[in-house]
Amino acid sequence: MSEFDDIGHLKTLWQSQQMGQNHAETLQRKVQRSRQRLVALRLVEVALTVLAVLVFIPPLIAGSATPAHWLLLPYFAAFLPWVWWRTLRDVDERVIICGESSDDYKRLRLQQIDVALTRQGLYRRVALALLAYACVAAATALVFLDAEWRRASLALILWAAVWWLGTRILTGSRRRQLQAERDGLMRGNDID
Amino acid sequence: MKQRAHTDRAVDPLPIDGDERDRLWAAVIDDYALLRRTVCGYEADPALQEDLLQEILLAVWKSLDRLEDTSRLRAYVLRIAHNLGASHIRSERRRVSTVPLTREPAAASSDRTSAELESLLAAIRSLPLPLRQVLLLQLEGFNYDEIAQTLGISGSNVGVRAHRARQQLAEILGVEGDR
Repeated sequence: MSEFDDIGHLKTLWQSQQMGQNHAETLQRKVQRSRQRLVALRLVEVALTVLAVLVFIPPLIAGSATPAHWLLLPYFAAFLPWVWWRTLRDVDERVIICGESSDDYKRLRLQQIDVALTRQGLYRRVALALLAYACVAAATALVFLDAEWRRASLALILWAAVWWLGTRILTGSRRRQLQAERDGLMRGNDID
Repeated sequence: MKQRAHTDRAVDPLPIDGDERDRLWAAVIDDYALLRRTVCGYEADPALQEDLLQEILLAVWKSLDRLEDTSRLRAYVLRIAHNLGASHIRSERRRVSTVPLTREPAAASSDRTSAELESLLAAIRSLPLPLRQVLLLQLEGFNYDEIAQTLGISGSNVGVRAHRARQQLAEILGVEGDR
């Protein structure tokens, strides 16, 4: 009998690895911080949404909206649903299925990845659509409107470009990661 | 034993109270060494090991409410660890790491054992995931039934995978078995 038929030898060898318990406490603190970060992120997103509502609603009701308000209104009309969608629905969805059996996990994870990739594409399209809107608004302001509208529309282009670029950077790495995981799942043999 | 009603995936599971959650979390942390060894079976780079372990613990924390039978906490946690370990490998598709496993200095055993362990780790990491998962659980001392429950596969499937895993391990390490 070889040592590979004697699983006891391998078990002893495997379990001889010493893993310090002190490290567990450090890790536990990191996990705690991660949880706090997630809560903070959600609070920031909610605060941004509330701020946007406070900035736009009173001038519209009072009839004192400036060109900047009017130009930014469609922008935030897209931004608000996007933020809420992201806040409420784009959680780490693996958590929902990670306690399933390995076969179910693979099947469900593949579905999740397809949905996530579609969603990432949508984020990009939303950012691009807003950039396009900013460009059209700026062109219209340059040709037909006064200096105040032009200034507001140029500021809008700047913000739209920053947002579009940020979205591409943020979604780019996530998409690559998701695509790699999808490829791994599709290969099926799971050979490292 | 607290038996929780089976819940459909689409239905929110029953919440567990704070004390129960704290007790379960403490039990998870008690199994830190086991989780860390499991992570070592998926990742060689110490920094990435830590990331993966943190990711697993965070997922466990968030998933505690979904645990239907608290007496099966360990199997549940290991299932999460193996699923996320598999996802980690699939999403990284990384280079074969040459970074050695970090261990406590006090734990240094004989050079021969240390070399044997390094070889074993490298060999395990090169196994296909379905075989690796069964072998890692077997090395932790789980029997076929427990492994079947943890991975959600049949006992006979566990037997087949365990046999193949040991066969491939022997081939990788160049050991002659009496097959």
